[in-house]
This record gives sequence, C-alpha cells and structure tokens, in this order.
Amino acid sequence: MFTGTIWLGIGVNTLMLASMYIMAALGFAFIFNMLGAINLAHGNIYMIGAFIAYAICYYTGLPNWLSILIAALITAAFGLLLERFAIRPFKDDFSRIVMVGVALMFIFQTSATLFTGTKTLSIPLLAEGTVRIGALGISNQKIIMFVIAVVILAIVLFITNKTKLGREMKAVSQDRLGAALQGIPINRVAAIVCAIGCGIATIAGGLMGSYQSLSSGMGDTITLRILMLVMMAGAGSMNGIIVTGLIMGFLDAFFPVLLSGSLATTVTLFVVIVILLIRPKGFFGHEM
Amino acid sequence: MKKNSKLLSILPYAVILVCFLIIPTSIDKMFWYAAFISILAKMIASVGLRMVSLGGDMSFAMGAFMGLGAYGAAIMVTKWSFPFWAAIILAAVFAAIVAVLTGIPFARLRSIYYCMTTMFLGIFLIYIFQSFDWTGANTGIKQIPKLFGGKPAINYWYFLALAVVCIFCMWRFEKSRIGNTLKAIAQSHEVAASMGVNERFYRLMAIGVAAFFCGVAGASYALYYGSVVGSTYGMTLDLWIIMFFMVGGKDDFFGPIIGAALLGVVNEGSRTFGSYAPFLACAVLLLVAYLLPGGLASIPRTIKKAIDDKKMKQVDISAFSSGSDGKEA
Amino acid sequence: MEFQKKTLLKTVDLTKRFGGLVVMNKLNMQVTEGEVHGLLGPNGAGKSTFFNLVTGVLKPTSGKIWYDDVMDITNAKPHKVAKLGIGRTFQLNPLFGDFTVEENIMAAQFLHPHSTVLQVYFNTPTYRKNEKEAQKSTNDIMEMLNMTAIKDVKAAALPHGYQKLLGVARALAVKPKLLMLDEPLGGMNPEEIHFTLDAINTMNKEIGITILIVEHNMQVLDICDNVTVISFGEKIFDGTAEEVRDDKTVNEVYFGGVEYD
Repeated sequence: MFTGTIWLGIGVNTLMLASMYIMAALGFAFIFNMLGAINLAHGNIYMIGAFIAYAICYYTGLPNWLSILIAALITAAFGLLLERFAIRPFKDDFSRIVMVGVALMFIFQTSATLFTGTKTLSIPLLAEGTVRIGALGISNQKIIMFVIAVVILAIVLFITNKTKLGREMKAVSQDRLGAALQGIPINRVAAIVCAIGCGIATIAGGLMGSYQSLSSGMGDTITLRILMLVMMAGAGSMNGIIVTGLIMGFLDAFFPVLLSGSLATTVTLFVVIVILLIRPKGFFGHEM
Repeated sequence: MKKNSKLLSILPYAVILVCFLIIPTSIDKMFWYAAFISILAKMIASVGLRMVSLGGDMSFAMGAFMGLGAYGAAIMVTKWSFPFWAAIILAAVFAAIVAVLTGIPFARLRSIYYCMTTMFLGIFLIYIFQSFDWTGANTGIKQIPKLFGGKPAINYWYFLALAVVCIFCMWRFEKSRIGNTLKAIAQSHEVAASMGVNERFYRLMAIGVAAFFCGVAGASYALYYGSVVGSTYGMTLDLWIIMFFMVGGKDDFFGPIIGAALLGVVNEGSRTFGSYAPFLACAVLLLVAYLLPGGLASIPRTIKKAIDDKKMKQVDISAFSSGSDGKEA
Repeated sequence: MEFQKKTLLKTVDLTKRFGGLVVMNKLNMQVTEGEVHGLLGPNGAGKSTFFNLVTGVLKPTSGKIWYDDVMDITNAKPHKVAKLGIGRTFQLNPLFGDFTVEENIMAAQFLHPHSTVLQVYFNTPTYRKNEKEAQKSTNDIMEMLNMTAIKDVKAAALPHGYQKLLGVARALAVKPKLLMLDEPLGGMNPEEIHFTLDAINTMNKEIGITILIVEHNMQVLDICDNVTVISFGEKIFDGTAEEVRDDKTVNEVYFGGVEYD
C-alpha cells in the first residue's frame, strides 16, 4: 500500500516537523530540567514570536529572514524578563507557576487574536521552488527550514555538551542544591537559558509561519506537542528530547497520511499516552 | 466559642449563596442567567478537582469528564430519546466509569507526569468524539431538546440547586474520615499503606466521585445549552477549571467555590469588552499569583495566624515542658 | 504458661537481589510470640531491605515469609500486611506533618475499628460508635506514651524525639500483633533513648505486643530477649541477648577486624 515515494515523503515531513518541535521545545525542556518548573507560556512564545516577525516584515519591509532574526532577539530579551518575573519567584510552587503560565498564555493568545482579526496572515516564503526526487517534490522551503534547524541544534548541542554554560546546566539539572553550593549562579544560568530558548522558539515559529499561515491557535498546538515530547523524554535529560522529538515528528507525519484529521490526532495522543504509561518517567527521565 | 467558630465557617458559603441568589435576578437577567449557569457548572467541576487533589495529585482532565457527561447526555437524549433525568445520571455514571478505568493504569504516574498525562488523556477523550461522524465529528451534536424548554430562569434555579446539592455531597466526602484518609495518602502513601489503607482504591474512588459530579454538571449544561461541540471541552476548559481551583486556594474546601465565583464573574462580566475580555481575568490570575500565595480562601487564615502567633508559641513551650516532666517521673 | 509459644514471623531462605547485587542471602530467622527480638547489623547489612520485604514494599527474589505459623505473606501488598496485624515505623519517619499529634494517631485508627466507605459517608450509627471507640483508644495511646499534653501540636513542629515517638504511637494504633520498629533510636540523644526504650518495654510487657527492632545501636540489647545479627545480607548470629555480647564474630563485625576485599 505504501510506495517508496510515500515513505520518502513521510520521512521528509518527519525530519521537518521534528526539527521544528525540538527547536520550540528546547527552552521549555531546559527550564523543566533545571528547575523542575513547567512554563506553560513557552509554546505561545513560539506563536507570538512568529507574529512579531510578521509585523516587522510587514511594517518595515525588511527581508523575512532578518525579521525572524530580529524577532528572535526581541523574544530572547523578553525571555530574560520572563525568567526573572514569572519563573524565579515561583520555582517551587507548582500552582503559582501554572497560574502565571496560563495567564501569560491567554494574554498572548488574546493579543494575537486582536492583531489578526479576520485576515489570514503569512510571512513570505524563504525560498520558492521545489526539488524533485523521483516522483516526490520537496519544496525548497522545507529544505531550508531543516538546514537552519540542524545548524541551530548543532550549536545548542555544542553549548550543552562542551561549554561551561552547558556543564553548569547539567550540574543544576542533576542537583540544584549541590550546584548552588558549588557556587554556580543558578538564577543567571536559568535566565540565559530561558532567553536562548525563547529566541530559538521564535525562529521555529517564524519558519513555520512562513511555511504555513499564522494563527493564534498555533500556540496551543505547539504547547501540546512540547509537553508531549518533553514528558516522553523525562526530566533531567538534555539530549532525550531529540529522540522524542523525532518520535513526535514521525507520529505527526505518519498518521495524517493514513487517517483523517481529528482521528490522526486522536491516535497520536493515544500512542503518547501509552508510551507514558509504559515508561512513567519518560524514556530518559529520573525521579523528580 | 465552639458554636461561634462553626457559624463563622458557614458564613462564607452563605455569603456566596446569597450573592448567587441576588445578582442574576436583579440585573440584566438574560445575560447574567446564562453567565451564572456556566459559572455554576464549572464550579462543580473545580470542587470535583479538589476531591482528586486531596489524594495528592492534580488531574488536568476535569474538563474532559464534563465533556464525557455532555456528550453522553446529548447522545442519549437525541439518539435514544432518554428522559432528561435518566440521561443526566447515566451520563455522569459513564464519566465516572471512564475516569476509574483510565485511573487504574494512571496510578503508576506521579506528580508532574500525572498532571501532564491526564491533560493528554483529557484532550484524547474529547478528540475521540470529534473523530467520528456518529458523534457529530467537528461540528458536534446540535438541536438537543432543551432542558425545561430552555427557559433561563428555571434553568438557573435548577443549576443553583444542583450546585448546592453536588457541593454538599462533596463536602461530606471531604469532611468525613474518607477525606482525612486521602489527605494522609497525599502526605505519605507509604505510611498510609502501613496503616492498612488501600491507597489505590481510595485514589480511584476520589477520581470516580469527582468525575461523576463533573459528568452531572457537563450533562446538565449540554441539555441546557442545546448543543455540544468538542472544542468547548478541550484544553482551555481544563485550564480554566484548574485556574478556578488555584485562584481560590488549594488548601481549603471553600477555595474552588470562591475562585469559580470571583474569576467566573470577572471572566463572564468582562464579555462586554469584546475581544479584550480575557485580559481582565488574566490580571486577576497574575495578581493572585503574586500577592496571595495561598489563594483567595487563605486571606482570613493568614490574618488569623498573624494574630494568634504569639499566643500559640507560649502554649507550645509549656506543653513540651510538662510533657518531659511526665516522662522523667 | 506451659504452652508451646507460637512463631509469629518466620522467613525461609529469604533472598533479595537488585540486579547482580545480593542484598539478602538466604536469611532464615524467626520471631516468637511475646518476645522483643532485635535485628542488628552495621550500616548496609540489609536491615531495611528485610523490613521492606516483610511489609510488602519490596518483593523477594526467592524464599518465603510466614506469618502466624500458617499464613504465607511472601507477596502480600503493604496494606494487606497491615491488615493482618503487622505494624511498622519508618526509619526516616515520614509523619503526616500537616496533622496534629491527635489527628496523626486518629488517622492511623483506620482498621480497628474499621468502617466501610458507605458507613462513613452516610454517618451511620455504626460509624459513630466506631469513631468514639477510636477516639478512646487514641486517648489511651497518648496517655501511655505521655503525649496528651502535646496533642494539638502539628507533627511537623515537634522535636525529633517526639516525632519518633509519634511514629511508634501511630504504629500502635494499628493494633498490631507484631510491631516492627525501624531504627527507633536513630538520631536520638541519651535521654530520648532512655524514654524510648522504656516505652518499648512497656508495650511489650503490659500490652503483650511482640516487637521486632531493627537497629545498629547496641543499646537495644538491654531490652531484647533474642537477637539476630546480620552483615552483608548474611546471618552471622542467632541467640539470646546475653550470648551476643560475648560472640566473637559479632564483635569483629562491629568493632573492626572484618576484611573487606
């Protein structure tokens, strides 16, 4: 039933979606691993970042890639504020951090809805045209998105595995108290990480916003994906989200080929729930 | 003294009830009836969430259990032409059964994994209804014969009575030994087991009870509203129910009630601002998160504690010294 | 008093492995009804593992656990074990910190007298009678352990010695036939040790509860009738409290001389 072309198409979509999901999830995963705090607003930063990129592009006429980059810098600055005022005061209080997260989530969504109105918005494509492999056409846009994602992920992996910041992040995520006693400035590390995470999420949002159209609902969609892939990876694993991101991307690329809209999401959710029931702390997680 | 404190503890409930009796009947009736019916339905659900949270873990699937009740009742009334009362009760039982059956494997999960996975479960359950044409797919089930002919006033009194009954039933549940046992489990499930408490049974019972009342609320709301759309019962509703619960304060039975009343009124009342409406509710959320760590219901407790603090300290010291005297003798 | 005394707890070849690590190797021991039995051993000897195996928190790799001569409790769940009459305290002593002393003990009166969920919910006469009985027995326990004066203090606010004692009080409320105490003297000062040993003695002599103490502090020998000593999951001694003081192997394990290779 499945020809090689279809499988190839699924493969391409898997890679593209997975790279976007992973980029969007990085900031959330870092904060979750390091502080055990869930920042529900993170998915909506991806959304609002895309809107900012659109606004810059539309009102100043700057090229789209530059707009996305500027938007990323703006949200990164915002990420610093976010860590300082929405995460740091509530680190150990689950209910308050959820409250603040949900409040920000609704604020972002409402703002985006007000901005969009009834129009359909979209950032101009980064690249036109398609590449043909046999019967399958892959748009240049997808290829560019994937290449950018790989470059960014490589940089992030380098930072987390090879630099001082990465070592500090690892230390904090393994034992927060111990790291603090060693003199690691947890707050500063968390702020930097949150800023980087927000910036990268915005790049992902901008890329998706130029591939598809913008909507205030894209925040909710990505929040759900982020939560699923971070829970599947489990707390305390920095590299695990790459594996679970690929799983998530595959589920979202594979089932829509087989099933109609809602049913595909249903099955995806079912698979994720079953995985979490079999591995209650995720694939790579440890006790919280 | 004792009688006084009992009266004081009933007072907040009475105040809320009086507000609910007066407000909708005095001003712009149509609008406030509709708003308060929705608030009451969510209030029942957030008190239900408190029942689950007694056992230590927070479920993010309460909105979905309302949805199960709503869809169940809608299907029974439109497709099998059940009478209203039977549809409501059977739909609630259906929600409770689903909650308990899914609760069995979910007992393996703890803390944040439990919260998040129940959230996925909630979204999943509603997506099932949205996936099949028989349950109306994305457009939902329309043209359900309305409860009490759809008259707002009678419906409002019905919902108010329903909320009072449901909340009283759950109040009994919490204040009895069952609630205490659940609180003990929340503090240490190992110790509870060593006392002979079947931890799993109690937690499943709590979620079953909660889902039953959520189901009642959801089913009644669907029949009042006349249609069920899946997206109404998705992540946003789950989050609102949790917000009601948290804004009110999670250490107090009164918490979800005051939370739902205040945040619900702010949220529904600000509808007049059109698309800007959610900002006001979000402002309340942020204010409570920054200023009131224990939620709204903790205000009197904080004040009382500040007054009693000095006195309590003296009592403690004297109690210990007399205790050690006794043991040396 | 010429009856053959019953064996209350008996383990046969009890073994527990975590992966390749053997933490308990073919342990055979028995606790006779009415005695105070000490299970001693240095840190890491497998004492806590033994506790968790008996109370059903862990499942043994092989071997059997018999309770009351005839009952096989090898794979029973923790709450079932409690129901059969085995009470326990915890080494790290997790209390219900939000509850007062009285509420802690009341919460432990879960099985005796036991009311069903429906009886509780509908506040039936049986439930009210049970609740009165529980209140009375709570008062008795508090009186016996000298805790009446502090009954309204939150458990989390108690000094360490009292917290440990509250753990014992709570285990007593389960009305156990066999009470298992996990390091009851851990972290106590000499005065607290003194009154805890007194309290344990009272429970054994006056109420007749069989007690199994797990300790590494040799001071418990004062109140023990029989003693089992384990080291690295192996039994190295079994006998009376007098004999153990003179035993050569035990002295080696405790005071050096053992070879770690």
